[in-house]
Amino acid sequence: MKRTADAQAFPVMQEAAFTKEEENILKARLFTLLSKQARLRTQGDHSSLREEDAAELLDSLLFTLRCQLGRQGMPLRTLLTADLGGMLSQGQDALRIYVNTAQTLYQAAMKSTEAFGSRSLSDTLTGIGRFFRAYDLRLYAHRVPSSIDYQLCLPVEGNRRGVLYVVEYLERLLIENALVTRFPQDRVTALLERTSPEYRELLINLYEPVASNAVGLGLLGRDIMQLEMTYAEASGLHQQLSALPLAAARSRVAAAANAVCDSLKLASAKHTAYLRQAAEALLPRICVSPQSACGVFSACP
Amino acid sequence: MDEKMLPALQQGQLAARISQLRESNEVSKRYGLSLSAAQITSLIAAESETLSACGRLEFGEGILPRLICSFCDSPYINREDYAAVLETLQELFYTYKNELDDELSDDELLEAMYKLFHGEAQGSLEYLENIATETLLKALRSDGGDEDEEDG
Repeated sequence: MKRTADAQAFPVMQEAAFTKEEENILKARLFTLLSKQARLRTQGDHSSLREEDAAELLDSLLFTLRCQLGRQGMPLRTLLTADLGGMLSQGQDALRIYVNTAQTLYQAAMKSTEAFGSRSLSDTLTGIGRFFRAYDLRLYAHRVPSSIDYQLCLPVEGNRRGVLYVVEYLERLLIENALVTRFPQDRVTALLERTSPEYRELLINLYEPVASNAVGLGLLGRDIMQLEMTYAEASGLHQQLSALPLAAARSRVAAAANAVCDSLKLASAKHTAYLRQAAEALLPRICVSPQSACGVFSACP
Repeated sequence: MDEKMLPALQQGQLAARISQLRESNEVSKRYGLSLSAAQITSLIAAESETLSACGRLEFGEGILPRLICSFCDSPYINREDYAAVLETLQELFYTYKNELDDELSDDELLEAMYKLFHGEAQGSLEYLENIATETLLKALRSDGGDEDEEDG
């Protein structure tokens, strides 16, 4: 009889293949907790909420509970018997720690990031600053209440939300920035302008052209710091890599990525893994045609 | 939306709501008004339908017990149409909540509805059904008289 949140708002149940009885128990337990959240949200002024508002609160609740379950390595069935209020509180404590981590990463990003005039990167950094003022981990822990427009080379997976998204985004941004800032500024700027003369105003990632050129030049045995490749060299790389079986081509690119990180003194595994992944993602575009390879490397005549 | 969501909870809630409305009868009886068991069940069903139609989710006891406490002293409500009036009032309440985008708290909205029902509306539910949301806000700001007495 009574209306309640959409079944889709209860992904926990859908994934865990609970019995019907368990599902009802869990829904009732979550509803009790959701009622408390609704009271918190309305400060007791409203005993009812729009379904979409309730669904948002539930989303936040499940996000926090899942976060806590994940941290403790507990199965979803724990929700059937655990003290959900206590678990929510512990989950919120954990999220506070993530907020602190995000703040540390943000300070590092603000200190070290070179935007090369990219408006989207500058705006995103400013926007993330607002995140810390607007983030409400009690009621809307799953939200990212700030504008994050700047596109990373390897976007954060869609299942990361709330502060977890921001932490992951900043970690990736710092990885990207560490590589880009290893190169002479004028070389990077020249490359970016070849990639797109209007890169400053567009949502263009700064890392990808730098990373692809560094790996490409590494494959050619040239000085990676030059960040400049000719059409002939880009076509040559196309021929070289497209002639190989995919696994072998991947392997060569991965080795080149490792070598680039070594020479740039980016020793940490996360930097190497990131560059490898980014470089391997370019392989299909390099292999498809010489013209496409020239585009990947923003090659010069 | 799944009509069978929270069935276990609903059973518990249904019993609690029936009990609350029975208790509300003790208050309204002083004014010669009470609900039969069938009327109670029917009103709870109507409230659920209203919530569904308004796309709202109720976390508390529902608005009916509070409507009863607020309106049972009304000279415009008699025992014959008591249940029907409550049914309309709850429908109006949740509709206003949406139209006002929750700008008024439950208590404020009840107060505004009470003032209008006993003021300009003279007990006419039809009048209440056709008012603009601004009228509710104005009613709440007024001190119960017919005119606004805001300082100019």
